[in-house]
Amino acid sequence: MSFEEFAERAGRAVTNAASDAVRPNLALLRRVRRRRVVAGGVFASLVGLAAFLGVASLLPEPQEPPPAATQPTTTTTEPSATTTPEDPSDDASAVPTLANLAVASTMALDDGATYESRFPNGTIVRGVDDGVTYPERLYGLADGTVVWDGANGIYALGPDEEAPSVLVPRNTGGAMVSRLIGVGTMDDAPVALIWESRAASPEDDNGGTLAAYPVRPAKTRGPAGSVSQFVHYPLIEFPSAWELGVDAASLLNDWLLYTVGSNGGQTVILRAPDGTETVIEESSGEEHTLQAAALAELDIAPGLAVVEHHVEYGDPDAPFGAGRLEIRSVNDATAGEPAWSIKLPTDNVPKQLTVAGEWAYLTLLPDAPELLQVNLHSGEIERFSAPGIVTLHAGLQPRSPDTAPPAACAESSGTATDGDAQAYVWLPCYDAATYDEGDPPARFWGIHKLRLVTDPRASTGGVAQRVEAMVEATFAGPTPEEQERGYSGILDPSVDALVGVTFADELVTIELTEEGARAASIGTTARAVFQATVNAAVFGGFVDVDSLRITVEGDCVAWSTYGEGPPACLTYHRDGTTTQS
Amino acid sequence: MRSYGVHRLVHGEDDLASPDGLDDVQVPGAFDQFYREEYRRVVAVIYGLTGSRWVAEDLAQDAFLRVHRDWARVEGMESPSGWVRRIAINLARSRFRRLGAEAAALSRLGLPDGVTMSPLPSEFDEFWREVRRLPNRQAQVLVLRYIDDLSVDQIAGVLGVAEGTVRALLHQGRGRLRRQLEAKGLTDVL
Repeated sequence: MSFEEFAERAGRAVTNAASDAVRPNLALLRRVRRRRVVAGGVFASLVGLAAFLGVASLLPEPQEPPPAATQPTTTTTEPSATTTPEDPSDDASAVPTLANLAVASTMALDDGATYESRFPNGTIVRGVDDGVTYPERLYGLADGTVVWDGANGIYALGPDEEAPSVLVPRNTGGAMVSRLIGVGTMDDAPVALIWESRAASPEDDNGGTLAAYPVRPAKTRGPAGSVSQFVHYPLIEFPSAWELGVDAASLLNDWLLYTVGSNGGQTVILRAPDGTETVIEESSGEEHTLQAAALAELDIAPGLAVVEHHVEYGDPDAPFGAGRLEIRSVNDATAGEPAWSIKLPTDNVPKQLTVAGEWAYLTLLPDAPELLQVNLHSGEIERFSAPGIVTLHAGLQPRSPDTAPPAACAESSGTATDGDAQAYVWLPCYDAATYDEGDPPARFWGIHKLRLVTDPRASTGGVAQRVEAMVEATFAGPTPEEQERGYSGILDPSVDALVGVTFADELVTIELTEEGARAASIGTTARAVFQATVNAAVFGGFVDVDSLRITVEGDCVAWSTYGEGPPACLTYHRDGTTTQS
Repeated sequence: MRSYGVHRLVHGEDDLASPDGLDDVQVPGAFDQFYREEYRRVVAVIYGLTGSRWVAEDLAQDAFLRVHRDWARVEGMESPSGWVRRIAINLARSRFRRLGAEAAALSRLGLPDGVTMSPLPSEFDEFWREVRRLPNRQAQVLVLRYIDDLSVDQIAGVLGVAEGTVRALLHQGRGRLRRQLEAKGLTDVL
């Protein structure tokens, strides 16, 4: 028998087996249709509720939690439709409401969109869910920014922003696929945790990286739909995306919690600042499944705590398993033992767990239009109905966003325009307190213009000569005084990096030496900072320039391949987009 | 070999019969027909990619649910059948969602169902197990080719890639699969 004949017989065996056993389940669709009818009324009620409550900043602050000593060490509450407080708050109005939650729902909309997210500031985002993205997975960050997985990338929207911007573009062409899997903080600043699956080609799956992307300042992000400058910090490298992937992650400064798994089983791992790893929980998937976990700083359990959600099977009254939320202390002698647990009043499988302050939020699988809000001190549970037909997910927008930039690296004032004899030198900025000559910079805060200088070739040179002068000045890096203020160079000044610059048809081509290209491509972060800084220097200083290419001794494709990118010539444009040729 | 129409799939002689006992369910007519005609095929495709009947059913339901929500738009597409397959394949590729589907599926194991998928003959079971070890795209084109019986241009339409890419993936997938099967001692297949 030939291979072809055998394969065709193997295929028919599957279709025959499916024909014998599989029955379409139209009951599911009946359920959805029923919810479509209900949803309109619920949505109108929520709009009214939000209007009545006003903006989030008008809501009272939550009360300070009671001292830890008064909290139960182990509390299990029974399922309830409303609340089951062990130690309820005296002030019910302290409980957040939907008015300060960003809400995503999936539904059929008139314009062809299949999901819609509404934010407290009035912004509405719509898109089409094609199964690749997770539009319903909104994550709220401590500074009020909400991030989500959208159609063309991972988006961010701050509480003071009217339109979302791209935190990181998605490349579904095979070079890299990025997925949002959690949020956290680095140096008390908000970051999005993103799984980057390195699919070097459509035929290959060769591992991935768990990376943190700062979401502030917003200038490090690009406008919606664009590919722009961004900075990220690789946290963990994985050898095989298919067999071992990261499902969820949470970062609390230098502590990292993540779940890895294969079919049916998951493991929750805590990584300490010194790199040591502890297995917090393991699941075979047969008795129970860990659906989500998040790190939190709670006074219920000493130090850091892992907040986990489990689904347990075997209860005929709970066809999707009975949910349970647990808090575990992770850095003391009681590690591994749940300090507190609560049985959840739902038989649906929660999909996402977000912890903010003393509140945990659980969103449910798509056929359950419900959001659970759990007070981690009292065990109080609030159930929100969803405006969407199928699902509701929420990110938080807290009341007092902290958007203050780092004290160092204040941006210079003034404007340089083309034709002036002035120009800025663009340098990356990071916290001066962490500056170490022997260590590559690890905490960048976007690209800042710093030094207003006289353009040495403004009166005599063409655009190419002037760009070359600015690029040389940028490569030369900051003065010692500027370094003390927190600015960094993007290349070792001793590296002879630049061959030259040409300008034609609004396109600037910067030609690097091999040595320069290697130095600029050491590490993902270094390369991203290099590219962003060069883009800022050229587009920020020269309005005549619309596009930018970097070549390595005349080879444009080489610059992309140095960075493990696609084998193509990349052209960066002023509007933040990148094209390949 | 089957061909896609604008709104519905035209089945060949060996295609699956319509399911029984569903007349009481009221859904939009065109979608109802689309669902009845396509559901089992999509389940079979996802079974080939995941190896689990339960996961395949849940992901197929999820894919049809999305199409149902967006039916007014999908109905006007050149190939609604291709679109639902693309969504289902994307869902199968996403580990997180697959785990969620497995969680729901596992919970149903204790419930009365009465119908189970017949185990495949061992040589075919081994064949598809090896297919699932291939890189994603290679596995997808082989499943669409041999389970769904699609042509190269139809597979290209489902996956949103060029026909040349499909041919290359088929060639690479077959070659790699042969080597894997050979290493397993299934030489009578070659």
